[in-house]
Amino acid sequence: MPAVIPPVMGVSPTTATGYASTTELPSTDGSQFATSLTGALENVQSLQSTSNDLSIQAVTGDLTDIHAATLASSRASIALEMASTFRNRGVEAFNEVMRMQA
Amino acid sequence: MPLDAIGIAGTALTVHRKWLDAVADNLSNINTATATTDDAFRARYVLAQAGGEDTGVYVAGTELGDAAGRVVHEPSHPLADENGNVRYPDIDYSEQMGSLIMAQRGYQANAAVVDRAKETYQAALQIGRN
Repeated sequence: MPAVIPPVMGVSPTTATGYASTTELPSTDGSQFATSLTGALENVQSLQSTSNDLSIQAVTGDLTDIHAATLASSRASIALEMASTFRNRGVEAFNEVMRMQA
Repeated sequence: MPLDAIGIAGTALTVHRKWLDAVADNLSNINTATATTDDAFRARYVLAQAGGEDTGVYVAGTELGDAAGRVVHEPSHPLADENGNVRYPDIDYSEQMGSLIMAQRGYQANAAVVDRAKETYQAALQIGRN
């Protein structure tokens, strides 16, 4: 009499290790990135307008502190660099996903 | 607040600029004579105060030097009194020159902090670029 082969049992699902729980997934409509980028750009815009005002004061002779103008321009430039870096990285990631094929 | 190193260094730049202004004022009036009935030019000293909680440094106010000054016998001076005396400010030339160098170097040091901070932030933005 041949030995009875036990039926194949279902495999229990594996649990991810070392990851945070996935119960709180962020919204997937992509609006969060846009919101963050818009906020960053608004920040850049306000820094640039401060820098602009101080530049105008510098050329009209109303500026008391030279460094106030150069500091504002440094801040605006680094903030713009930061926003553009984040935007580029985001678009890079998106393009990487778009290049996926079976 | 982000980019704080730049803001902190900015407060120090302002303090050193004001110190430089005070030294300029003192040196410009170092030979200003007044009549003995008036006060001598009083040297201006900037009082710096720490902002606390990493907010840099601020000018708390200024102190004025001695109003008595030095009484100098100079009968040919138009402001001389009946004894031929005028009042000169009691400002030490070498002390002011020392302050001038310290204000300049302090300003330069904080300007260097701004540049280094900016370079550091730029390095942070380069992470993972390649």
